Amino acid sequence: MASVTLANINKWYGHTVHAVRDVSLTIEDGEFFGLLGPSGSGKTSVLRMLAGLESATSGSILFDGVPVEDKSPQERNIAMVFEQNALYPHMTARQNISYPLKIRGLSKANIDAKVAEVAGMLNIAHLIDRRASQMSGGQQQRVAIARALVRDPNLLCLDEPIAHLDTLLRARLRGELKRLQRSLGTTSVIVTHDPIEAMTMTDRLAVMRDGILQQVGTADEIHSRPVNAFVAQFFGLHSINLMSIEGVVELPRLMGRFGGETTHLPTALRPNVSSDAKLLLGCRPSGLDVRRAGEAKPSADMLQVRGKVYVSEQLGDSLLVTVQIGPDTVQALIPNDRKFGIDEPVDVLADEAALYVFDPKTQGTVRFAPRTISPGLGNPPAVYA
Amino acid sequence: MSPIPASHPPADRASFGEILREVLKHVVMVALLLLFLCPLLWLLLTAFKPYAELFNSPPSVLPVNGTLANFTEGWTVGGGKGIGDSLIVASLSTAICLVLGFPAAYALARRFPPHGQLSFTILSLRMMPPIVPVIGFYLLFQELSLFDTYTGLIIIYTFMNLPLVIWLLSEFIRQIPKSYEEAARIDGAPWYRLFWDVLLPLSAPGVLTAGILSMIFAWNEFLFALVLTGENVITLPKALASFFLFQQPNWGQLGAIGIAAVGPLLIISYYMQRSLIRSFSIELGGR
Repeated sequence: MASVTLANINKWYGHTVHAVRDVSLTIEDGEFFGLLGPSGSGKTSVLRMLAGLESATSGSILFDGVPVEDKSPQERNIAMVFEQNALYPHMTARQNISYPLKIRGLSKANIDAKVAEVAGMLNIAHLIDRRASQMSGGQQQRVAIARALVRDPNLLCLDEPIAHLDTLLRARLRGELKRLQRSLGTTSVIVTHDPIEAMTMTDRLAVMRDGILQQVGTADEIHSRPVNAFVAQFFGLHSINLMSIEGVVELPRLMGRFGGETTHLPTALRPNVSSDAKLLLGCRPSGLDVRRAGEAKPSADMLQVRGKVYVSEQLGDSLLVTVQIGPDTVQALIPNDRKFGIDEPVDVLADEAALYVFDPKTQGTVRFAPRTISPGLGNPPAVYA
Repeated sequence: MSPIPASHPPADRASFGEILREVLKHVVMVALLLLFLCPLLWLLLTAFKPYAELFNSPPSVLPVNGTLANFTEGWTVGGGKGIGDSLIVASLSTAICLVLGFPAAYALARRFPPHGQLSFTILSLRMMPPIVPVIGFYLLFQELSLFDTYTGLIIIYTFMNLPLVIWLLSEFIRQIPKSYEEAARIDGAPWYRLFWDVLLPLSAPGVLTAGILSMIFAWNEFLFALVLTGENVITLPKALASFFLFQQPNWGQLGAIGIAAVGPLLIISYYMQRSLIRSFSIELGGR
């Protein structure tokens, strides 16, 4: 077990690709840490540098305060679970799990005991003599996790370990991995492009984009206080709606244009209007409400704009309505006791308490939504995936 | 109308055109097979005929007085020595090719772009007609006292087969996902264990294919053996050719030795065809 510190890490591939830019972060001892980002964001590069599979172009990596840049994966005592093709296909599960111990020259009795222990922990005892080709994807990943845990690593690196599994299995392994990590207390880093995985499993996480660290914090912090529009949009069950509002005027009520449509704006946003009369708003789908056109009167603390239903999707206990406003669309998550037909004219409403404001130029957050979810309007987010 | 059982959908009845096409296909196939198999068959039959029977008129197709004498005599008049020498030269050169070729192939696969200059250069060595360097080798071998030695011929066959072995193996290794190697590095395997425990087992079909091809080429090679060896080393193709030197060859013995030369190749190819095809169409899927 170890704490891990990255200091000003840069990674260049050749002279053209700057994959990781000046990343600094600290992972506490025993923490389950997530690296989240879209593909090409540099998160996997960071993990591979932690593991010692690649070296950083500049910067330093410390395990418990000791630099490890010159150390091999073995010397760092890293374990890793790969996305796929992780198990040696010509070996049985038992041989796979015991391989790292065999390399270390442990006695056969010792190896057998450890393999049995970890196999029991991961419920794979019945698979122990099968080869990779005789196991399902989920079983293979379990064996790969067992192989990683069998030698008490300083740091467990998980490279999208469950991304290739089907939805149900993914949800189950998510929980299992989290419990396992808690009970073992092994410092773990998981790389994922799935916000749900990052949110549900980790203690803290870092959001990356284009090699740049965007934000580090707990899932709740990042969800409720995203530093910029990208993080707000990327992080969450449903992507946040970004609404670029132009020509904001006060006559006397605050109004502007979104998608060419006249938009009533909450008075509270007046201080946030930029010098060129623009507003970049963010609102999570759960913060938006959809009403039949004309049903709701514009009020001074609500955003309201006219559009028509593009499509409405049943999600079981709620309804995801996509509304077209000019060339733009927004999505609203509402109780499913309402029905909307395609192309039906509707009003989209949002309480000012659910609105984020971003700088139209830098995309940085100017105003956090006082409430992430507006009770009475949308449903609290439920985990579907 | 009787109901159709669900598990047996009615087979489409073949149209006359389809039947005709099938028949034509088979006729052509059989004709081609006969064309290729006839000499082999004749060789086989000749090997079992006594000398006198070979000149029967009209010729008998099947041996009338079948005999194994051709095999025993063939063994003593050069066949035995030929088989032994060919085995020594082919197997040792193949072993060297694999030992040298595997690391080279690994480096080529992992450190160089596919279908790059280096890969092409290596393979192009194999494309050179052997007649081009043979005179140079003759002079060189005379100077180095390698003429008419096993060592000399083994070196030549290694030179001849190494490019193909490297190329085949590198294409094969390229198909092995890197994550296996990375997993082994993470597991703490030093390079020799990475090679022995992970890479070699995963590339076994490729190694087998490269080995067999290298073996076959060395086994069949005639030109280098003819020019670069004399009385001391006599490989099978050279032993066969020596029958044609001074007198009417003993066709029966020739047939017997010919079968010894062709037989192992046929058997290997038959049993290995699946693995050979898979290595050539290089696909690791489904393992």
